[in-house]
Amino acid sequence: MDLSVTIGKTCFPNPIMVASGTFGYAREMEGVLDVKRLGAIVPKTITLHPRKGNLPPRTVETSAGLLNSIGLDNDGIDAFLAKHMPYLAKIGVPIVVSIAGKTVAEFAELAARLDGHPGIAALELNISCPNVSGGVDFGADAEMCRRVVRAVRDRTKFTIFVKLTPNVTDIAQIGLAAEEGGADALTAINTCLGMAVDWRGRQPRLGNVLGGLSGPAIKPIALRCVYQLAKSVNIPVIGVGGVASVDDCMEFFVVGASAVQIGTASFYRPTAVIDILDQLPAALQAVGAERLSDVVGTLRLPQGAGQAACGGSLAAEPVEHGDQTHPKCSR
Amino acid sequence: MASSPPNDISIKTKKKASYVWSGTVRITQHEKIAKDTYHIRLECPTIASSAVPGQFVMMRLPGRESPLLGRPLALHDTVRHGGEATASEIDIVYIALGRMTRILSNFQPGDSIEVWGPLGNGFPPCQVPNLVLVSGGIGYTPFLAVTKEALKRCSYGRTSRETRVEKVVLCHGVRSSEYLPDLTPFSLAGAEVLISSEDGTVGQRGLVTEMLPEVLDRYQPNSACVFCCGPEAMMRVVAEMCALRGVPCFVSLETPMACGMGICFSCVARLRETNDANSEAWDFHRVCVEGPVFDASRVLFD
Repeated sequence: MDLSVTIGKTCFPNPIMVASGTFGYAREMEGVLDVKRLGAIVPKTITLHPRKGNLPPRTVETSAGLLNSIGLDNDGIDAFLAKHMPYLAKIGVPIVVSIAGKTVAEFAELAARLDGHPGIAALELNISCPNVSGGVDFGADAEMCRRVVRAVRDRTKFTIFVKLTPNVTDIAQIGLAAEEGGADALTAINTCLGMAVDWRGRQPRLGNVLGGLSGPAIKPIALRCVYQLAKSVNIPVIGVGGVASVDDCMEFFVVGASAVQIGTASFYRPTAVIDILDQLPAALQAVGAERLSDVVGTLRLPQGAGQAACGGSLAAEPVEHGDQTHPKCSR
Repeated sequence: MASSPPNDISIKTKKKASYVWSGTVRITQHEKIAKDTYHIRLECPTIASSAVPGQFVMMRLPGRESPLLGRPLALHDTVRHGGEATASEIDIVYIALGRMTRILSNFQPGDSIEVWGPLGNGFPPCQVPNLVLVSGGIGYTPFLAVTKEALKRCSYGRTSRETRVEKVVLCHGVRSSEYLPDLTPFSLAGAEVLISSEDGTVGQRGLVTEMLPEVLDRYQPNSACVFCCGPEAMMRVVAEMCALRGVPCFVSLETPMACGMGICFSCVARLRETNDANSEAWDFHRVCVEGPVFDASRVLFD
């Protein structure tokens, strides 16, 4: 079965990608699984300058989840291009380079430095890291999001993914802004801001106090975000958040994801991504699908449920202006 | 008069990632060996035939999302049955302290568990005649395989690891006698075993670090090497003692891990960028792939 999916100018051999920050620089996993089979590799986010990252403890396990505050520990773009990119380029899998900047100018510079670099298929703008100061600013404000995406768009010919944070009132509004800025796809979601506490010691469990929650615990939030985004924008949405099985993938496809990224599952089931890929064709065939697009966005809503489900469901009360905010929502 | 230890033994930095097996395995033995302390044997030939002393595996309870993650557990030994060309089982000794290990302690032989490994670098094959092993609490577990390899009772891994050790001394400290497992396997392998306990219920009363100077003073600095594993406060003191005497010291660090494979960047420790003890330059390094064993002179203890 042809599992390929085209996003922006890039054709991905299959829709099973590995999420940024959960697969190192891929070399770490070459002894674990066949990295050549992946739909895309998104290496750990790079920044303009080296960052040591946050103080340990950097991760804490929670119920069906993992709270992290790594803090974009990386050696900067120069080291990435010198040490990691030659290996990544040789794998033969589309490489989506995740970048994060503190300012619009930093994002633009990163994009300019990477543009045209052999072996890179796309950029993913990490405007949603909760663990660095200013990390989510671009992902929490529609106008800032539009500006940063536009600045990157002006500097690169690569396909652009924009990775969004769920820690906003209305993710669709941010997604629309990214689309207007020139994004080719939206990646949803980054981690959910959270906290773990040792109450007896009166201490936070993470060195950086707050962290981002990932794993099965956040899948419902991720599904909701993908659903809301897919209804609102005209560009593909890549689902990420708690994907650990082929059924999880199918759920994301049905609510509108064109591809998925596997993250935390790789930490606790090293071959999760390959296991899912192996099972995907049979799962599609079982529902009579001849290609992936046959199932994407095929969610059937109960009569009259469309409007309420489209709104900013984070609000406690039904959203009254859903239709005005998201024209595509009306059913 | 701190002097930097001679670089007799260098740990190879990581090149190509080595093969990591992952899958579900059967528990073949499981018994309590001291207070809260369990010995578990797992049937996993691929890991058993390639693991070296000081490496670890990740173990995870199957079929549940809570606890979600695996736990890093040091290789205690490998088991080769009569007639087998290579080892087919691994032994792990763990202390049931947290949620995962408490649930694990109820698992029975025949039950299944998820495992991936072998992981980490392991201890380097020692190239001096006297190997001093210093452990506190559950930190002794990697040292049985270290002892058997050093004294040529057993070989580990796929390639030959030559050592030049003639004598092994294990200095092991426990809180009290109830936490002391049977250390006969160390004596049988040829090690001299020295015990200390904080409450004096077994061995010498006090901390293991209090009996270490006497042992270190037996040897010329260039004829001995120390391997250390245990609580960080203990390892810091041992590292300082070794640095003062010019004895090389390797510590096996324990930091919270999520993946064990180098992809999550959780388990970092602060390491000096050079062996120069006066150098201030440091960076966070992943304990799971660059360690867990490090030249102690590089480690900046908190």
